[in-house]
Amino acid sequence: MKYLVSPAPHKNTRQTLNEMYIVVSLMLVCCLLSGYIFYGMNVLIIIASTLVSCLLFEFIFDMIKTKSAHFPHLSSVVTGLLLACIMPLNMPWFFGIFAAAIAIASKYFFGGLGNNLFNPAALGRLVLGVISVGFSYEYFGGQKTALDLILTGNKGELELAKLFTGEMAGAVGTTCIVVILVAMIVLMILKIIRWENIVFAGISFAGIVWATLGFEYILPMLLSGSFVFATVFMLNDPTSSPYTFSGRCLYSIAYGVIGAFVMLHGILGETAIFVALLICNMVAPMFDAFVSIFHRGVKKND
Amino acid sequence: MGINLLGGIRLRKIDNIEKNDILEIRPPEVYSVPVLCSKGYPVEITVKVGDKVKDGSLIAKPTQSKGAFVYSPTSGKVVSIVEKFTPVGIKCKHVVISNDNKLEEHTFSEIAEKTPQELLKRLAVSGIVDANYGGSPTYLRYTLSAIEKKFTLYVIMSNTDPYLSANEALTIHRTAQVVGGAKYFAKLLASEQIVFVFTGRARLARKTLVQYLKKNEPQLKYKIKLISNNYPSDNIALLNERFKEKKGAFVETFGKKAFVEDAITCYSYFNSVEYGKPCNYRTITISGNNIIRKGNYIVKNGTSFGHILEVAGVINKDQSFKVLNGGIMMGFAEYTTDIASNPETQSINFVDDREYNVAEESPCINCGKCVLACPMNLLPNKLDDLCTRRKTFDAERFGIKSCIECGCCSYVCPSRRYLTQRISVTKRQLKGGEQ
Repeated sequence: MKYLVSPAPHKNTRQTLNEMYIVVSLMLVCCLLSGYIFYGMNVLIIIASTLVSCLLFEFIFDMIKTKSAHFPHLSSVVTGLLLACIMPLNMPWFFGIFAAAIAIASKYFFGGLGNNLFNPAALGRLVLGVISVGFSYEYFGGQKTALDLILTGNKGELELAKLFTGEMAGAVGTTCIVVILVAMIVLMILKIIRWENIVFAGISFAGIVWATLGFEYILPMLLSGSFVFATVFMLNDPTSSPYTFSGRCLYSIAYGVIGAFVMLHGILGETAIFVALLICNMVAPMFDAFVSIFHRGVKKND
Repeated sequence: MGINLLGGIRLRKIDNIEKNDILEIRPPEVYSVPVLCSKGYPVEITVKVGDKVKDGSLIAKPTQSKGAFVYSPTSGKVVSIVEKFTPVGIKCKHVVISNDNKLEEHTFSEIAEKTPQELLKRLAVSGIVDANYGGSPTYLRYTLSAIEKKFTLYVIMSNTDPYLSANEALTIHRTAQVVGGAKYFAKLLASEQIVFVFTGRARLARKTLVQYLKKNEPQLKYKIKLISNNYPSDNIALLNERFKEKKGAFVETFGKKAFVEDAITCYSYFNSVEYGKPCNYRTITISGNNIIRKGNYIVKNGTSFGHILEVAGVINKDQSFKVLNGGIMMGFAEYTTDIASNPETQSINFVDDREYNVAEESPCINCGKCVLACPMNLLPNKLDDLCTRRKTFDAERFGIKSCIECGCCSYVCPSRRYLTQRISVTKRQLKGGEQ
């Protein structure tokens, strides 16, 4: 009889990396479905262009890096779906390919999965936004986005119920708050996203809005400008966020503060929150470095 | 024990085998008794090949002040003295004794007056070995300067490992002996009260103990402390590292010096004081998902793992499986069953690969689950990175030496990184560099 020999521990969790990616992808597909219901066929073209090109570029870069292409993980699927979610409605399909190229390249230039400094999807979207600002988020009937309405002083035209259901102008997969909140609960139960990120980001964001605009602006601002989507799906990206609890708290507070500031005082509109996210991604390793001094093991008394 | 764990993992208890009575395992025909405890203190074998021995007669005694007394597990004849490996992989001499089924017993003389000095003497010769403190004899911790100093006695009554239930079973089925042993330890220390430590989910054991104490020991001053259900909260190494006063000796809790024992040790100590039975056995949990007759057994010193496997019965014989000496999280996988159990064997588990879903190691995505799980407040992902790059000096700076190798980080890792394994290898390298 043969006995297996291996070092301890002899037990592990069922959750694997690819399972996590599959769950997140399913949640993103739900968000995109809500976008399809409101915006129609154009959404499918966006999904096709970003998803297929993300997979393709992952394949190419993987081949360059490892000399033999194999798909060890499904992170490119998540990147493709995330990109599709945050795209404007009238985006030409070739821009989707361009954004996907930027996103995947930014990951592989730093050394592949787990080493990227920036969130790939956010970086791809931002580069696209800088190149061409002519995208519109207009809903049928020429309706402006919720953030535009608030910043131009037309808050009276907003309907809170519509903000929740997502019958608004905005990026493709980010308008339907109800779906995103359900996804948030599912991901929290499966321990894929962390509560401290969401709570501290929400509190700090709301605090800045309260200080500058007033109390009645808190809820509309929280629900507009892709904030909820970016907080649930992109702030919790494990690679570009800190790995310590206290580091994550500082990180999400910084994200909320910078996000509110950029959204209120910038001209970037829907992409403002991604600027805040990328700034925080940049300093995330520093937050870890600050708090790593408290993680040097339990001190010995002798 | 009121210790706030920073991390730990929640392990589900699979089957409640502690509810079943403790049985004695069917005696094998040949015992091969290892004459060494795991630290490797030298001992002198006092029997020769061909000698007749009784159940409980001395077969090896320590040459130095350290080391444990070893007693024969059966009545019979010494067949040979061979060199073999112990369950933890140390080569040492084994006394092979054939069983003649005559059940002749050799016991200690009765203690007339149970003074602390007499009790300490009995503890020294009884041959009781701690499994918790890395396999050193129990009497080494009870020095003459430590006894009668009114230190608090803590008795661990249940474990957090899902495959370790011997303490709990003894508490339920041998309550009188366990409490009696704890009382002798308390007398040794002159402690004012005994603190029984339970994990939150060991409700039956707690209820049984409280009922017993109310009925039979109304004068006994005791306290019940609950510790977290999370996995390494009962780890002696963890408690020692945190509240260490002197290496391996005291655990300081709430500003008072304290001693920690477990139910298994209390049970053996009671038997050796009350009935004069030397400790040539240990209560061992035999479990795992690949075994038929799971349960807590009293296993004699020197019973081979192969015999235990035969008695317990394997479900799936064709498939290869693991034979673990110890719990599922920190156990030692054996390559053969031709090894003998000794007084430091906590449990023997036969598990197949349903417990461990094998996947290829993928890159770390810095999710930080290992940081949350680590009970010693370390950064396993950072240490893993440093260990792969062989930056041992930096790893030491990040506190690699305080790792207790509990395996929580490897357990939670979604990327299936070999965190514990790599850290323990680097720790051993650092240790080797110092000597």
